[in-house]
Amino acid sequence: MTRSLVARTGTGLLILLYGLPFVWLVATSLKSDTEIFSATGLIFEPTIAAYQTVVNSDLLHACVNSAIIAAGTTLLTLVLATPAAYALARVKGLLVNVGLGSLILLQITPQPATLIPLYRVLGGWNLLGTQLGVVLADTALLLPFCVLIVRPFFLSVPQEVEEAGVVDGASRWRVFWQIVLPITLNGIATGATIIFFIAWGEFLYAITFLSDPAQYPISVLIAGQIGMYGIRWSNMMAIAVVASLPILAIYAFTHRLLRDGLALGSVR
Amino acid sequence: MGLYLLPAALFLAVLALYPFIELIHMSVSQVSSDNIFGDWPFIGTAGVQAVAVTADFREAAVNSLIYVGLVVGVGLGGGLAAALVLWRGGPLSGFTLALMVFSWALPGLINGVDWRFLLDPRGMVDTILSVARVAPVYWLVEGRLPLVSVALVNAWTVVPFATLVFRAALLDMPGEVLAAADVDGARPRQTLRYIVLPLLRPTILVLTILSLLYAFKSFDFIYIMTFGGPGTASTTLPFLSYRLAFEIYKFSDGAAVAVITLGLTILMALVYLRSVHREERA
Repeated sequence: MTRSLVARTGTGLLILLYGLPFVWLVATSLKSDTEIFSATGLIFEPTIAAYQTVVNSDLLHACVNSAIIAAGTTLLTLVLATPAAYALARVKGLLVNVGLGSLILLQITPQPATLIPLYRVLGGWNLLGTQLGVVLADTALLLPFCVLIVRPFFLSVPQEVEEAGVVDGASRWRVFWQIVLPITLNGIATGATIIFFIAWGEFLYAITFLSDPAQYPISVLIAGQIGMYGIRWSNMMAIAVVASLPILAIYAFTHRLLRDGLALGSVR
Repeated sequence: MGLYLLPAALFLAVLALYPFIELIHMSVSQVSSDNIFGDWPFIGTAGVQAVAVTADFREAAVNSLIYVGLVVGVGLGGGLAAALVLWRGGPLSGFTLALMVFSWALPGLINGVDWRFLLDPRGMVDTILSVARVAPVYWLVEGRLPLVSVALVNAWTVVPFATLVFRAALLDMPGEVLAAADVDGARPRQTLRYIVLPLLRPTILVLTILSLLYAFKSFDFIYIMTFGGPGTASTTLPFLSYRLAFEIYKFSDGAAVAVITLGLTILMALVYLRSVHREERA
């Protein structure tokens, strides 16, 4: 086989492997219950019955809750992570090793292991049952990851650029704010996108720390129903499609950023 | 520079480091639903030792090794293959890459729900198999299949990330070297074996560590697709820790499993780094 034939076959396989699951997801959401049971594959009469059932004010409310939690988490994480990542890219020595080591240790701790201690901390602050509590927990979960993603972008800023600013008499803060940040905007946007996506899909903290269904994000609606007996798949898939739409919308604008930014973040 | 670190450090100290220390504290104490809000009697490493010899723990440890092995092996192997297919460009490769990275970007929750149905006897996989007259396979029910299925779905989301990183490394490769191999009449397979793979070695190293650390703590996919079952068939160590604490309220046992899991994760990473280091000197 020639190289181009191998490449074409491989590309075709990859498109099937990564496209078909989403096509099937959407197709299932457009099926009636009888058609799901008769396993009709992709040839069927589409109906929007499932969407008529699931898209109501409760679901839209859950989407708003998700947006509040995910946007709040992204904002707070960036505010804390960006200066920390900058410092860890500029300072050298023991402090950096201790800092990076602790971040990695927190990063590899399984999420459920933090549930009980966090429950106690948030309870002590009367933040259980509030979305602010979930935002704080999500930020604690994602902050180490965000620092590790953004730091390589600061490392790639040449020192001379900053020294030029210092020579011109700018304060350290002005150098950071007006010279370094604009250059590293891609990295910060990469971090923001990833943090938003993960926070949008986070369900374990939300399901544990929230008690009022009116505050549930859409991820909790999905995770809470998935184990139930006699689950209606067309409805479930319709909710999953609705939950994916915001991600798809953001991804349409940021996929080039992610493509180039992720590789940078992990290799350094 | 300290001022730049301070906000994040304070935040993490209270909401991440303190919970982490509490986790370790819980693992060396006797904590159940009776005294979760009271005093925690100190029992030292007795709890960790007791939980480590249970049959549940051994099963979960084996399950974790299988899970991690599949996620790392299939994730990296698939990523390398996909990167080799896609890196030279071509009309469809940009689209394919964007499609793949989208499935990486989707939360595990949504991928998990999707695949839970795709692997249902009425779902995509069995429908496709039925065309070839293969009887329906109960992917999420029978024997070791649930564990393997969930691991493969998790690997399916790791492949796009590995592809991106391998692709970047391939694009960084000195063009003259590859051109020289071409001129010397090397077959594609020889170029891959003797030139490309050795140049990719550092990338493979980093990706192995990253996906190893990631796979060991993976939780979402199991929660959504099988909830560790049927029975305990797909319960890995992080999920066992969760079940001990939240199904039977043995909080200190759950914490002990979490601490052992962390220890094992670090140990595996160090053993791997050491073997790489030794190989490099040899």
